[in-house]
Amino acid sequence: MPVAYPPPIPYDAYQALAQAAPLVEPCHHCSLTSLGLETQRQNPTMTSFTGAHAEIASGGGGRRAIAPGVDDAMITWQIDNPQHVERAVLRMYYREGGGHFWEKTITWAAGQCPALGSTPFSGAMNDPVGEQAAQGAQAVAVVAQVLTTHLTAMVAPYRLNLTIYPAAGAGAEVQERFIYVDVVVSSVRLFLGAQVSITAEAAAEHRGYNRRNAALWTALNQALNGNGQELTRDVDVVLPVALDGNVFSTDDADMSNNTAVTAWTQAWRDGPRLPLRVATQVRAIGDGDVDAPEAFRDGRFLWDWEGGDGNTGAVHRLARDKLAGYYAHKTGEWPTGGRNTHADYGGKRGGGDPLFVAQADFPLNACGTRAGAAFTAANATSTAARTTEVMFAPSKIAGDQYRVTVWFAYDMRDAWDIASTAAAMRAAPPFATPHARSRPMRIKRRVTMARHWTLDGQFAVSNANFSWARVAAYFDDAGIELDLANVDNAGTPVFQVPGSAAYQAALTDALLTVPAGVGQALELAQCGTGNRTYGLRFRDNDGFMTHLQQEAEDVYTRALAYPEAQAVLDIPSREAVARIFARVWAFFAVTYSQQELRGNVENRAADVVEQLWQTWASGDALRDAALARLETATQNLAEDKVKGFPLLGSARPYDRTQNEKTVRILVWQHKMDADNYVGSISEHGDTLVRNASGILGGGDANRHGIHVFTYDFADNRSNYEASGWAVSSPRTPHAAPTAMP
Amino acid sequence: MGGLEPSNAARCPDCDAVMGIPLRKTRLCGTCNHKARTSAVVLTLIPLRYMAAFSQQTYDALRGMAAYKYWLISSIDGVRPEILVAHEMGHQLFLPHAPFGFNYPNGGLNLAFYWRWILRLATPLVRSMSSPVGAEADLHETANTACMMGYDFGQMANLHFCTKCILRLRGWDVTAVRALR
Repeated sequence: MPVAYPPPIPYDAYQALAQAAPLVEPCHHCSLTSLGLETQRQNPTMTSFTGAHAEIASGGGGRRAIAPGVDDAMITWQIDNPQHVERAVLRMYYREGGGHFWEKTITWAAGQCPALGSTPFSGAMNDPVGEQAAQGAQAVAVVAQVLTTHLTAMVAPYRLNLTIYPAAGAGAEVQERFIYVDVVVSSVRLFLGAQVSITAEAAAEHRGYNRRNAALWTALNQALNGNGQELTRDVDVVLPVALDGNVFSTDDADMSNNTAVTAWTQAWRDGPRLPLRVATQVRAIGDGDVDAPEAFRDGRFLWDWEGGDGNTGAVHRLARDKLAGYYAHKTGEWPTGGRNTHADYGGKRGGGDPLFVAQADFPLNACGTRAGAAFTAANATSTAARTTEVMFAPSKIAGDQYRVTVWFAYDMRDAWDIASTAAAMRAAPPFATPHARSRPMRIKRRVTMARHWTLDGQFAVSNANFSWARVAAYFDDAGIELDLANVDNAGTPVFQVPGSAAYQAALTDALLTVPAGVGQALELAQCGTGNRTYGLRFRDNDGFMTHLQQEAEDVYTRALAYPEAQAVLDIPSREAVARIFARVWAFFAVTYSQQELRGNVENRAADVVEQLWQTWASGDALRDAALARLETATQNLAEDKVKGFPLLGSARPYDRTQNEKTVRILVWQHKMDADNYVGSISEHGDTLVRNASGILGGGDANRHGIHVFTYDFADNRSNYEASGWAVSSPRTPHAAPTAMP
Repeated sequence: MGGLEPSNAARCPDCDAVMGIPLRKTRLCGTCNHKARTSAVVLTLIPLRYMAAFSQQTYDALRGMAAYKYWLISSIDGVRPEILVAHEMGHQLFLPHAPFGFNYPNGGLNLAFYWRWILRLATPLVRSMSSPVGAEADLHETANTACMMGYDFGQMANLHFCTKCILRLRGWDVTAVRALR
């Protein structure tokens, strides 16, 4: 059974009274008949003692509480035959023996001592001016060993003795009486503390952590608004502690290595920081309870905690038992932690980083025995609304749950620093002091659905039958809370790509990352438009070949008309150059990525032809130079294959068949022929649409979270799947390549 | 999975410093050395409407499109459009594939429509060939093929994140999770 609080008072806990001098036979008697601590100057209403007494229970006669520094009380007494008294001395004693630590001596002129004596008393030990008085006194003097400026709750109750000293020739029938003075903590309340910067804001490496904690505090503060920020209301309702969980993989390897944890640790370190504050009151001498910060000088509070059940009960039935088994790891260690994640797995049960961290002005001492618990000191210079504070530092593992209990840790520290669970402590605390137990606080990981993108006109077919709430339900098992504020379920608007032009612009940008031949296969102007607004619409293989051939011929025609060529070359020579130009163009258009060509196939072809141009006059040297240049430019293509193409040197007029053959060989070599066409554009199409989405999402810069894009595709691209892709955005590096390979 | 590039923030999500173009490419903040990874993209290459339990009406509406994809996926018991989104989000949240390929669906009323396709998928060969790319057996529960990160369409109605997925999503250390038996 816990000891009651305030504790019972045994007589022998205090220094024994000095043996009273034997009463001689004086001719004049005086006697101290009562003593009390009262709200005003009046006859004492409480029991007082002259010697050994039975144990006095909490609330029993002979003890009275005061709120130090707040109450304006009076110590009062009555004396029979007071005219024989020349002085009286009040002495205050601690428990557990020891002499008095404060005394107040009141002296009266001869015959002036009143029958009803009194002196003001507020619980202050430092002789405030207002208390340097007593009824009718000639002088009042205080001598104090000022260990503390006021009576405090930690060491109360005190014993207050009053001794009267008769004048010479007189005697005292009862010379000394005593009472007990309590300082009783009547309530301990637990609140979310004020927002504070966790670490030095100025240092860049701390800003993200500070910002995330600040956002978390704001969310919690808002959630607790209806409860006045108090953590003990709605006491069984789980309070989510949702950590910003927008930390995503950027590489396939991230899924197999420990990047998830290292990135999560970079974001949240050993866990979030929640400022907690305690507000207390003490019992006033009159009715009710009051704020009395001075009562808590040297005060000590115990921060106790208990874990949850691993939050395994609500998960999918096929995972539930196994999951519970995994959580039952070293349950003998820190049993108060329940099934919270063990330190072996990244949690805090069983040791590791502390669960409680000191707040400025409130020194902290970790318990030596009690798992994870800590003591903090009160600070009497703070307001009563923040008697003590601590920074709670739970783990960052979703599903871990915490309940914090803060106790006024009365009396000796060792009595509280014992190995037991929080539940055992509640059942049998060393003293039944006031305490506050928080709501369950459950760690969650909050992932933002940044936007749900669809193409114009596709909304009607894309979202019906789809529910974001059901997506969220899948993640609920994992302690992940999806923030769905930016997306909606079917039937309400979702964010749309702003028009086909914007979508096609993103595709054009994305085309830089795929082989140029894909660009030739894509019907860009048809993408994102029309009744079904397909994400990508490709030409079929015949259409692709026809288009490519036509483009090559157009290049040939344009090259023939170049004024530079017309100025210096005869017709056969111009045709030869144009032919080379068209073939080089075709070569690039199929083989290189547009990024490598800096986006303009024809310009790059012109660069090559210009190189050839400069050696035009030297006959056979032309062929050699051209081949050399092509080899340099193509690198990956074997020399013999290039030479195998009738690209150069023909004196024949433009030969469509030969040219088409060239194109077809190039196409075949780059897997855009009929056999491979669908697979090739499908593969590249995936890249294309990923990159276009990345560019659109990237254009939405700083909108953190997951951007979801929903597309449909023309059937000639893909008829096999309902695929999805997970990518980070933007796929496309924003820096242009610096040189041709 | 294709190669992935980091996130898109123009300013460092950690210290708010401006990230220049070269930094945007590497996504490593030059001020605080934070790697930007706060933004991601998930694609679904099919209108979500079509990922629904089979109905004759759906079939009639889609047959003209000559698209087996609609027919196939809408014929599997328990199909839900949310599965595709959740699976892809799982990747973005660091989950690799589970090593479970196509499996024979658990019965259903629409065999007349999909037997040609589904039965073909039920062979051990196809099952092994359909094992998801980059699957990590140690990071998934051995006996539970209904993991969201696998391809066992026979378990469509039961798909969920398996215990090891749950633990990693919650933040457990990967080495420890890998060792769990």
